[in-house]
Amino acid sequence: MDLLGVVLGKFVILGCKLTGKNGTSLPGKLALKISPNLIKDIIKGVKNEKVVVTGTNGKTTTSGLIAEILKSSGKTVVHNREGANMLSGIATILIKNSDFFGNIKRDTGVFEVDEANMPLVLNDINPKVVVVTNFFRDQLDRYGELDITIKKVKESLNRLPKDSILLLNADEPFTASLGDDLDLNVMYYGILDKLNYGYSLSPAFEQKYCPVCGGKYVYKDVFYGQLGDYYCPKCGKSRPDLDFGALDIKLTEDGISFKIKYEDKIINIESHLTGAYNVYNVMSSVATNILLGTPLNHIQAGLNNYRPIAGRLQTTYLKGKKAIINLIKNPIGFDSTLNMLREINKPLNLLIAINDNYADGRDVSWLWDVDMENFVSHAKINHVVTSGLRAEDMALRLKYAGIDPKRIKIINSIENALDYIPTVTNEELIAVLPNYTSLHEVNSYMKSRGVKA
Amino acid sequence: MKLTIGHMYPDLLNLYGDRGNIITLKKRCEWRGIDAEIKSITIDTNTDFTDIDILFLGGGSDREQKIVSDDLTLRRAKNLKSAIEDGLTLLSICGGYQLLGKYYLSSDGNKLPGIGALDIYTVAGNKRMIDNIIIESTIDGKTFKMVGFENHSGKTFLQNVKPLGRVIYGNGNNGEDGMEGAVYKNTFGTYLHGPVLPKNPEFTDMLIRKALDRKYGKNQLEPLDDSFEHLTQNAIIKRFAKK
Ligand SMILES: [Zn+2]
Repeated sequence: MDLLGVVLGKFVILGCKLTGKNGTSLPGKLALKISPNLIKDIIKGVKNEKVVVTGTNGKTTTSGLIAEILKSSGKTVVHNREGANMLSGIATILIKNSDFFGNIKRDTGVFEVDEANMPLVLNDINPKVVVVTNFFRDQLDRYGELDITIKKVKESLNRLPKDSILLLNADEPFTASLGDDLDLNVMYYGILDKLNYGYSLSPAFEQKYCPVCGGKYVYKDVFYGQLGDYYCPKCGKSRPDLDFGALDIKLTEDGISFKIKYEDKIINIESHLTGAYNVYNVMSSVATNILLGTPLNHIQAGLNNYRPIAGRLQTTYLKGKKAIINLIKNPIGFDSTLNMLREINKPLNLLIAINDNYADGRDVSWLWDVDMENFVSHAKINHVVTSGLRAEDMALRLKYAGIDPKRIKIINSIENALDYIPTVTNEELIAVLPNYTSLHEVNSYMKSRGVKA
Repeated sequence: MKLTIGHMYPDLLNLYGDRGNIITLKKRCEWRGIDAEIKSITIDTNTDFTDIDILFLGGGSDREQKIVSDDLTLRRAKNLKSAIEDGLTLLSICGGYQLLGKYYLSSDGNKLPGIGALDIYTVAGNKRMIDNIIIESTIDGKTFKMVGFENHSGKTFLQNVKPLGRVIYGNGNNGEDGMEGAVYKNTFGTYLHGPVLPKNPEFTDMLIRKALDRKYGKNQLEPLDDSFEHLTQNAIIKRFAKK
């Protein structure tokens, strides 16, 4: 092994620590420059099978759940928990977990991988199981990059050993079609229940076309976004048969419970994660572990032990008032979060923080693709604070969605907004919904106030 | 009173937040007691546009834009052009704006025809113009600023037609002549997303007024409380317009 990269990486990690920087990708970036095979070399030392999770939404939660379950079964796991999911982030986490000679003493590895980085790292990682959650066009992708990305992902999957398992979300047409004519062990998960909460078709819904004949897909059921039970009336292609199907889904404020049908077995599952979309994340993490041979009692224990990372459905207190924090980064994610809040069925005070820094996407028009109208007409909302560089845009969006402007307060400073919202809160649940760089500000506020999750 | 708002291809051109324009037209009518009905016009809809008071045509990604372009130029050009000549109030944005023009010259030298309702043409550019944009516009003797977000690589040039406004910040039609958008009769073309109508209430009300005038001969509108609208607009002007 070429050790120069590992050693350099170690020093950069140390340097980042000393200067108080969050070095989740810089060390790997520099190390890869002098040792381009570093990922492949280190990963050879991981004893058992590796897992890769990719897709637009849900990969942080899904990979986190898979890793937690594996840990609960007594395994040591290398996992890029902090969400650094590009080539450089994966190199960094491997360097962190190995010694100066590049030896890694871990039983397994679970990696969240950015869709566009899949072709760069998939074959180096050489996973036993690849999970694909969904593909959404977000606002940064309007020029068909997604189509190209999916094609490249498929090409890299084609180069995996034939006994690798590809676990696909059958309910999302783009993802399901990845399995067509692929010479791997392809399996599908999806929802068997009708998951009909009277949600209208989301405005961010994107019509999907049959890859065989180009016909418009028709939906028997829409779960969220373009996820559902669909078929092509022209040629008869339909959602693939499910290897893992979710049944009897129950959603409450305290979490979700459901049954998974797998072969001739029915498995009861509970999770403290809320929101219908988490059924997919929990189900795919359970399915992955079943395929890896993890015993069922460890699977449930792992789900119980899982704690979301900061800002992902994190529960906390602001001046003693219960608050839930969830990152919103695209229309589908925003819709899902609003649906989750609606399911909780409690009076709400909202703090929505929207920045338009480069990392957020500088165009905030996507706020109008969110089905705010549906949410406002069904949820009980008492106070709203909008914040961030685009607080005014958000306030305007809410006004047109039907919230009385008198109940909307614009406070550009996220710090001041977080100070303010508990002062108008009595019995309501506070929901703090920041976009990407706003979440950093929320997190540093929490840190400086010593607030713990 | 009632206005019918035609939304062109909502199933195909639905990713730019431009549906915010439809929401805004509807709300600003309803807040004044004017009924507003939204009609979707897509590939298999038959209409000669005589039942429409305000028409909205947005833009989409390349694949959708191609489907829309075929349907508009091959099937609807004649009806749409005569409706425009007749004074239909029409707002077109980005790709939709380009399609109302004479042609789009692609980078490989192909001339893709538009419907030719506006005396403009568009040339593929090699640099994408992505930024906030501020313009100043004078319509019917009223001068006002408008803000939005532009995201296009096509460069549009006006011939015998007036611009919608003058660029204060950003690129506008082509990044060269300081002009943005086009106006012909009651038809408006612009590159402003954002979406444009919520945060530019003077412009929105002007569209509603033109439609009411054409249908009912009425051109007075009850004023609304636009403080949020102006806060949003001013936040952008304060951040980006050079003093
Ligand atoms: Zn088909």
